[in-house]
Amino acid sequence: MNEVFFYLFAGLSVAFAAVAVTAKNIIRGGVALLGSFVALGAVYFTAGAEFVGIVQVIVYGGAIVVLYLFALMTMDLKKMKEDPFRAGSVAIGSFLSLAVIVLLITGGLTVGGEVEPQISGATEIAMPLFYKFLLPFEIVSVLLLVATIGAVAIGRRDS
Amino acid sequence: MIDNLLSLLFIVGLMLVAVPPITYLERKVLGHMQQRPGPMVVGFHGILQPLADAIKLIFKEDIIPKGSDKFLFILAPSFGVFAALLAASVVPIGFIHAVEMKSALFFVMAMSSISIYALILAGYASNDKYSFLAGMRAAAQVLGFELPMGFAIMAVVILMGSFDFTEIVKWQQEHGWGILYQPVAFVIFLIMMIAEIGRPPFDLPEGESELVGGFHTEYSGMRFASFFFGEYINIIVISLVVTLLFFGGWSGPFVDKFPVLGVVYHLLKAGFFVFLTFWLRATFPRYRFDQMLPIMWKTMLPLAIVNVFIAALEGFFLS
Repeated sequence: MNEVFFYLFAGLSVAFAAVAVTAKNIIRGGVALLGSFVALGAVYFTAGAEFVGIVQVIVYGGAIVVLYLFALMTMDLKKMKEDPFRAGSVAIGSFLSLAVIVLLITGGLTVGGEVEPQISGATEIAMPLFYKFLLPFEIVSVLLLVATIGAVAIGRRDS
Repeated sequence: MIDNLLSLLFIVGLMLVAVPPITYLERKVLGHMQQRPGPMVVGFHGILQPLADAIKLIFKEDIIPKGSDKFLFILAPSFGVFAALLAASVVPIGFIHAVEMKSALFFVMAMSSISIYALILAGYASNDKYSFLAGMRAAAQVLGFELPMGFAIMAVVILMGSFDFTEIVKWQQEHGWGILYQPVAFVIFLIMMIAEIGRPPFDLPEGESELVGGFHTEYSGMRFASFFFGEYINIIVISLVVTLLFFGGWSGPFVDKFPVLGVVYHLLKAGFFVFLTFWLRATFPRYRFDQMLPIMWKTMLPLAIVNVFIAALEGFFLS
């Protein structure tokens, strides 16, 4: 039963993601992105990772897509449509997507085998995160802080 | 399995059936607080007013404005109702548990953040300046209230050690109501929950004195009504949650012997908070937008973060 839902939501997530990139209306694309994120959250549910699924919906569905839509609604979309693609950004984008595909396939091949889904809550994530992997976690948090300060510095009005 | 299904039917049914009487009660309470009788014409003291409203809304012409994004215009109202009903499904009422989930409290948060899309998308799709402004306000508001609310909940979770409502109530049955330990978290949660359900004084996306009708300016008939279905179900759900977190949920005298009493206690406690939202609406003027954001980001958020440390200390000394 779980497997049926797993493939259903996984398929939905991919389909929504495809709509998100191909949609001509960028706000509709944003809504499709929301659908993709929520479907991905459901995929985590079917794998037993309840907590991760909910975090996925809150962080990506609740906060990040709202932020995207907020930013997109304030932009001049007509002007953006007329802007041609730049060869440089297309090249970087395709390189990054290729790298992600290669990483995903190699990762999938190395993990392989049967994975028993187990119901896992906050504790199962918090314990390794704050004991075993505390140093990487702290480094990432400093990185995020740097990014935040950088964003504030760029967005600040000169007075 | 059958039990869960019946409980689910009960909870969803309760949410849908409770909305019309609550709209009636709201208008009556508001009326009496403002020294006027409220609805009086349809039936005894206007008791059939919700029925009359429903008939009116069903037979009203359904208008989709020109130049609107038709697909999103139709999609938007459903976000509110579905998200609110999904949130309701994980909230236990007394001994009635529909969907048992380890992280139920977190799930309610997730659904409340999804329900805000109803406002944002309606604002965008209507092709109307006022609706658009309302959608922008809703987006800014959701980013504002989510963090303080999350930290207020985090304090409770640290103290009681679980996201599961059953465990939270069990903790309170042993140690006493949550509000005794976390009064600051309660105050923050109360203010942020009013912002979350978009009720006065935080109903900025609606703001009828500035934005005509805000996000629902262009909606009519049942589409208009479904926004309010979502809003009122959200009020009930969040009232149930606040009693679970801070007022012992279904705990009370004689619940051990008669589990039905637990349902009654829980609904009565939640009923007080539903009443409180009417009360606040009658009492406070709406905040201005430039007042609301500083309240959330500059006052509530630091307070909530400091409060998390206090909760951790409390948890340390209690264990």
